[in-house]
Order: sequence, then structure tokens, then C-alpha cells
Amino acid sequence: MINKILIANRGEIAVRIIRACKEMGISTVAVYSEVDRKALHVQLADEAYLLGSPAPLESYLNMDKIIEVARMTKACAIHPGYGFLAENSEFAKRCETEKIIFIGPNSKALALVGDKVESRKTMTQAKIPIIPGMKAKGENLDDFINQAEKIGYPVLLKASAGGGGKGMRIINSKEELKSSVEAGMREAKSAFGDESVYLEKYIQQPRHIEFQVLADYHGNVVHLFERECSIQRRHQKIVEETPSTILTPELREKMGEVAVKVIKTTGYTNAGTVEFLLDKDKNYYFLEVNARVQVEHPITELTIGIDLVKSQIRIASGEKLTFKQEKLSQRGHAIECRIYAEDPENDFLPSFGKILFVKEPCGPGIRNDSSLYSGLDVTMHYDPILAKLICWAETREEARKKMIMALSGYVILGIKTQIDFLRDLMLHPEFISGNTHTDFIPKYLSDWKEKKGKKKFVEQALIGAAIGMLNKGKKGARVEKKLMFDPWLSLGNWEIGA
Amino acid sequence: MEYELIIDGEIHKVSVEPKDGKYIIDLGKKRIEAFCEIIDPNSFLLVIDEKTYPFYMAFHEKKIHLSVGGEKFVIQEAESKKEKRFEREGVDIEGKKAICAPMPGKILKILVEEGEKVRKNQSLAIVEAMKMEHEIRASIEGFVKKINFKEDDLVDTEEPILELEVKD
Repeated sequence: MINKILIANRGEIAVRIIRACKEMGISTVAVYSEVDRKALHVQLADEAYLLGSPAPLESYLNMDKIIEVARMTKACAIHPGYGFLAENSEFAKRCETEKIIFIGPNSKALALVGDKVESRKTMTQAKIPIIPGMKAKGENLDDFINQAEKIGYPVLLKASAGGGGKGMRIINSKEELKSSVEAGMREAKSAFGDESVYLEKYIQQPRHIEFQVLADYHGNVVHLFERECSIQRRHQKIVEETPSTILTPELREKMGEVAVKVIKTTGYTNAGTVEFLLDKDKNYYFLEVNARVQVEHPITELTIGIDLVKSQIRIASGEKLTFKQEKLSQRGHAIECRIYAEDPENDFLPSFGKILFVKEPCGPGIRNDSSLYSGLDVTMHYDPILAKLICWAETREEARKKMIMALSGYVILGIKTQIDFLRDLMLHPEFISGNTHTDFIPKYLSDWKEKKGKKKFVEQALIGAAIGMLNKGKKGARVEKKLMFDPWLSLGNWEIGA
Repeated sequence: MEYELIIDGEIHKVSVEPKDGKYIIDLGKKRIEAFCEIIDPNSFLLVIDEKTYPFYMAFHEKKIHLSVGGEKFVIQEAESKKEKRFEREGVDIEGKKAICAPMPGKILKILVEEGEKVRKNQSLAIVEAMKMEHEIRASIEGFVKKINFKEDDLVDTEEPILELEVKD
């Protein structure tokens, strides 16, 4: 029985996990780096402990320290969230040795699916279709050059230990190979602590389709249908939806069966995601298993009606799955938009700074997984994800319209976000008709600009700003008005003359 | 009070006078009567001709961050524009060009040396932020005049990483 969980993560996912624990009556231990002292996950947890300086290796990747906190607080389990230590088999193994439950796959399966080159081998043996590519990690540059020639350009460079687009690069020619391999290795090293990279065939304009699976320790494996995550920038998903607009019931059933086979082949346990690429002719290729709770897990929760984080905890404590494949079905349509601190007009470069004010949308069918609050400092140390906005409705069209409304109601002042970009994406005719593929953003929205000069509310903005300035300037009135309440004089985030 | 406010590079003149709990606003082209209710220190309700416009506003470093009708505005008073430290795009009168990082981060690599000749778009340095690597490229052809940082230094977007000089 798990009664206390240490959450080895930060941001919205730490908050999400803490909320699941609270619902289940499980005590929570948060950990944080020096810059996250006031973070929402620290505010919500029952206890919180400082790990160290902001650099991930000193904080959220610091295994010794995290294990030490778990032992000190008598937390019997660790939930790693996504990113950081989530797919680190060494950490899973350390937990096993320390008799701490790692809420994720067993370390053996984790090591297997985590090593993308090894898992490609296993899948080939199990006759699961994979993308043509290298059978081993590249040793030296010549190796990469030869392999790239054999596969045929364009090729895709990927981090063996990776995910989330880190270390990933499209290479179009031999000339680009050297600098891309070097940069990819450096990125892989800093993001995952492992610089191994490999090449595979780059499939043009594919769709990214993944299947959620749950596997308990009693041999039961079910899939919870697909998520389509084709809308990506820099190889990282930003919009996800389910059901996919492309899958027929037959293809869905087939791919679901393959996903379950992948999980059984690898001896995988707990929640995982089997990722596929679907080419224009609807051929599917196994990509990898994401051995963690996915960023986009909420769209599955909303359409299937199963809480995935609670399921992870239940599986980790040895419980059997309570549902059979035949009983599971999709209901309605869900879309998720990831809100990032970045500038869509400038190549999606991260944007940092203080969030001066935030107002989050709500309403029927709107779910907002966030760790935001007014006054939060967005720092350069971590992934710039701020929140996830998820909308559910009975049809795709209704969910899309709900998302547009919800995005319009999401106010974040002080830093740049891609909220306006996401709204325009939702309004794009190709998105409306469901023609999504992984090159969607480069193809249709690469020169996206905010509607400068075409805004509808310039007049209201000017009036509001002028009234604000007029009242901000009346500092002299403070003495006479001392006894009267005047909110203009108590404005929290107004930095006068800064 | 009269203000000159800049939105997206355009200057707008606005005058606002409080009168009997209302505001009389002059936008040049038209005069408007408005009410403004305060909801919380950052949330307001603007009422013009019985139409309501909730808006959200915060002041920060001489800028007004404002959101109304689902649109976001960063508004500045006109005179503060003069304080711009240097022109990011162009070359200054002495033929020098400062190369800054597009976002704050850590310098992973500096790929050139002082005095080195560089082509347009040549990689000059690699900056890492939020676990991603970003290449800093030469925006002009020229020579490396000065390098202000070394590898592992932290940089912001204001201080030039290096300066280029146009060749004659």
C-alpha cells in the first residue's frame, strides 16, 4: 500500500501528480531547486525539500539527493513525472535497490525500451514494422556517413536515450552531417547524460499517432486508444487530439493490437505510450515506447474516462487492472494545446521573465493543467512549458471551437507565449479539415505574425492604458485619501518608475 | 492628461479627463465617455455605451502589458522610445555591428576568433537555453572586431557576445 509519494519533478506535471495523490489520500513530498522555492508544486505538497542549485544535474536529475529525501521522509514511492529522471533506468534500478517503488516501468523493460537502438532490434525480431535505419549507435563520423548513404538522404538524427525533440535533427546532405551529429550529441549529452545518437530514414509529411497502454504486474495489458500528435514545432508536439481524423476503425484496432504486442514483447509494466509514424499510404511504423506519463495524457483521460496517473499509482502498488479491453471505448473528442513561454514570431525561441498577471480559462469541458500564478518567474533553466489547455466536446468541431474560446480567455501578461499562434492554428482551414501532419507548422504557419495593425480592440486598449496611467500618476493623492479605500493605490504588480 | 502611446510601432494620442466618476476620452477622431470599474489590482471593466470590455493590465519596466477582447498589447509611452540602446538590425555609423543572443542563456561554444573574417550567416557561437542549442550567425559579412565573452559565460540579450566590423 502506497501512503506517501515523492514527486521528482516540477511544473504542471508535478502539480497534476500531487492532485491525484490528494484525491487518493496519499501524502506528498515535493522537491525543488533554488529557483522553484515558490513554485506551485511546492505550495501544494504536504512537505517540500530543497535539492540544490537550478542546474538540472544539481536538482531534478540529482539521484543521490532525491533518494536521500525519499528515505528521510519515509516516502515509499517516487513518481518521476515526464522528462528529468522519468526514463532513466539507472534511477529506476536505484529505487529498486533502495526498496522504493518507482512509479513507472520495471528497470529492465525501461532499459530495453529506453535504448532506441536495442528496442528497434527487439521489434524487428517480433515482426513489428519499423522505419529503416541504423541497427547500432554510430561510433564515428565515417560510420554515420556510410549509414546515411545506405539509408538515403534525408535522414533523421535521433538521441538514443531521448525524446521531446532534444538532439533531433533532419540532415539533407553529407555536408550537413558533421555539424548536425556533433550538435545532436552535445544536446543529447546535456539533456539525458548520454550522447549516443543514431540515424533513420526521414519520412516526409507523416502523421504522428501514438497508443496509450496500461500493463499491470499480473500480465494484463490494455490499450486506451490513440492520440494524434502531428502538430509539432522543432519536433516537439504542441497540439494533440483524439480520436485521430485519419484512423478507420479497422486501422485503429490493428494498431492497438500491435501496441499491446510491443508492450508484451518488452515485458513492460505500468503506463506507457507506443508511438507510430503513419505515412501517406497509411503504412504505420513503430517509433518508440515512451516509458512515462505523457504530457498529452489528459486527452485520453477525457475521452476514455480513466485517470492515468491514479492508474499508474495503483499498478505500482500491485493492483490488477479493473477493466478489460472490450469494455473500453472512446467518447467525444478532446484537443490539447500546450502553452509555452516562447515567441512564435521568432522561431519559437524561449521567452523568460516575470509573469505579471495570469487569468486562466474555465467552463464546461475545459481543463487547464498548469503551474502558473501571477508573479511567477519563468527562468531559462527548464523546459518552457507553462500549461496545457484541454477541451472536450461531443464532436471535433465543437471541441475546436471550445478551444478557440478558451485560448481567447487565457490571459498571461509579462512574457511572450504562443497563445495567439495556437488560436490561428485552430482556425486554419487545413486543421479544420483534419489534414494534419508533422510538417504542418513549417508548411502553413512558418511566417506567422501577430495581427499587428489589424487588432480589433486598439481603441479599448488605448483607453484602458490611458486611464491606468492617469490613476497610477496620482501618487500625491495618497495623503488626503488615506482614510478612503482606493484600489488604484494598492495595485500589486505596478512598478512605478522602474 | 494627454498621453502619446505606442502600440506595435504606431503612435496614438489619447487625452483622458475624469469627470463625475466617468472619464472623458479624446482619441483625436472622436470623444468617448467611459466608465472604468476596478475588479482587482490587475482586472478592470471598461464600459462604453453600455458595452462592457473586461481588460487586464500590468505595468512593468515602463511598459503597459494589457489584454482586452482576447488580444494582447504591449504599450509604451512615446518618449521612452528614444532610450533604445542600440539598433539591433543595422550597422552603426562606424561600420560596427553588435551580435547579441536572441535569448538569455549560456555560451557553449565560440566558433570564431578576434580578427577572423566571417561570411554572412556563418555560425559565430552556440548558446544554450532551456536545454536547446541555438546557433548565433553573422548577419553581415565582415571581421570579428571584439569578443566579449568566453565559453560557459551566461549572456543576456542586451550585451553583445561579439562585435563585427564591415570590411571595406
